[in-house]
Amino acid sequence: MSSRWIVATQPKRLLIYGLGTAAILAVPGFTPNEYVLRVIIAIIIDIPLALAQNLITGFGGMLTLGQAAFYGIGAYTSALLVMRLGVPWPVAFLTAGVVAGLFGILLGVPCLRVGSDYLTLMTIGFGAIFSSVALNWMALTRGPMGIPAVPSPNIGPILFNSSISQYYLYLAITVSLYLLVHRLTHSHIGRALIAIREDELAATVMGINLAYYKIIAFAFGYMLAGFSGSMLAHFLSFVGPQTFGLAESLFQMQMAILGGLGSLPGSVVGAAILVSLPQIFQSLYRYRMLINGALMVILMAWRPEGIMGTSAAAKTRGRFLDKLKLFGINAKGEKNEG
Amino acid sequence: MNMNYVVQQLLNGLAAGSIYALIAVGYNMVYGLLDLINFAHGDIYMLGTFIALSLLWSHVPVIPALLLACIAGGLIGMLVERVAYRPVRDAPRVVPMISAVGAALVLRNVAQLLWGTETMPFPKLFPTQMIQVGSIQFNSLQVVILFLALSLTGVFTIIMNKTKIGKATSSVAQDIPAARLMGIDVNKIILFVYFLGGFFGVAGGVLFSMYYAVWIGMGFLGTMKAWIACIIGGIGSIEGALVGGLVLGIAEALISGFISSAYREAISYGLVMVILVVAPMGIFGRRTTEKA
Repeated sequence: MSSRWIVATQPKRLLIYGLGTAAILAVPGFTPNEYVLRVIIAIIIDIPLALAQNLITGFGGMLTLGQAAFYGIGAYTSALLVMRLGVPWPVAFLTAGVVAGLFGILLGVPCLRVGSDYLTLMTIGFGAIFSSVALNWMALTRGPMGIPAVPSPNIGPILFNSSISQYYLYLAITVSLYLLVHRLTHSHIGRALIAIREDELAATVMGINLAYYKIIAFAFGYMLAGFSGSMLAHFLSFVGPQTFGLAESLFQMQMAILGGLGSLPGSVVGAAILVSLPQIFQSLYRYRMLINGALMVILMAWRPEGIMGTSAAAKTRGRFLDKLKLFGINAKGEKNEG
Repeated sequence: MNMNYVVQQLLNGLAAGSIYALIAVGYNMVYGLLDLINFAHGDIYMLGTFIALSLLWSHVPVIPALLLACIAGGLIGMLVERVAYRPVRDAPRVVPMISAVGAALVLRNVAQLLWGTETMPFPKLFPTQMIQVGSIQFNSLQVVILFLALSLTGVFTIIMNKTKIGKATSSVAQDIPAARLMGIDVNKIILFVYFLGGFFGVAGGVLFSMYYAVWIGMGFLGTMKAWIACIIGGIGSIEGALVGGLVLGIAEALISGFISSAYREAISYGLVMVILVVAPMGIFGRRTTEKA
């Protein structure tokens, strides 16, 4: 059981993990200013989004492009619960995840009936419907004006109103969520999802209940997105409909793809790169879509498994190597004898 | 209920729907041929429409300007196929779809750098006036758009059904290995279809812009309308795109006329989702291409 968790057993590994943990905990001490720290918090908030997309697309093999809606559902749920009903923040946070997860099931059930590219359209449609409701349901969401002055998170009397305190709070949440996803993907559920991704028919024949596992991926993934939404709302202290459009869904997809579909550390790397790059190269802001888009095309052609990925689309690589073999060249580029 | 109002909405829907149909026709061919969602289709025609706009601004006569823009759109389509789609054609399904989204983003950014993000009016290419028939009023622009869109779709049909290259395209759509064995250069045919898709897409884009306006976001909007039209009408066929486009246009006009214009997009997406679940093969069509 315990071996399935990330555990360090050898002394050398223990040292590496220990140093890593210390470094992460010491981050606020080394950031030159508040701004840098807030960018790092933004990365922490986005990691569960990349993980969620990875779970659904990388493990489940379902190309969804509506995740921003669940991010938004989480953000609105959390902000409205705290502000309108005076619900304590921890309860609002958990409810945000649960509500987003329930909407995930709501979308997942009809999605079971449709094929791969229609599934993408269904999720784009769901995203468009969410945007439309967030924009037009004035009584609930205040429409385009959004909800300002969302309070900082608090647990009982402890108020997390500084960036440093939010850093530790959100770090704890994201690390817990990461461990949860790690546990999930290394359990029979993760294996089943991979089997479904590789070959639905074969998976069914092996006795895997497609519907059950796909719904789990939707519910669990979108619950994570809901948690991220709650974190965002209380971090920015503002929730507006513009944040949760198709562009955001695409961005979340890009984080998962860049890091590597099917690789959890990859999602962390993908989020870190894509959130921080525009901040580092602000002069390139105008070329953001161009760079991201070209990156997607190039990655798909040469390394569809992403930076850290292993097997998500390894089939293509295999084919490429097979083609080389046809010309009598082996994997190392040497000419075969005979 | 006022009967004139209903007819008015139907006319609006027909005009919009015929534009959707023209945009969807090229899209549907690619869809049928390679089973690929061409996410960049809308952005190709958006770019082409902006090229038309620039040519018209620099006083190129109307007909050559539009023709050049359509050809440019076709060439951009071929370029996207060659760079973004061909290298991943044999990869698992998710891979080319992601590559297509990437290509769309690149095109959108290029347009944004060249023309900015503002919404601009498209120049009036011919005088328009209100026409009164009985108690119903409509714009002559709507009539011209309907006429042009339908006749261009007709031209497309003739190319696909009567010419040698059109027939070769149908055989590629049915069975790529068999077509290859018959001596058809499959890559050439696929490039040809992308050219046609871009060419007629830009024609649709120009009509779209005359009816509404030109802006960066019209690309993605068009991709979605074309996709939805194909799903309603049936994938892989010209008639499917035509019927689907008209139905979509009329449905949207009726929704915004009688239910809610604020929720128009949401309701039409909702309807499409219901259609997908209830009749995954489209309402009117069937999947005309069958691949193992």
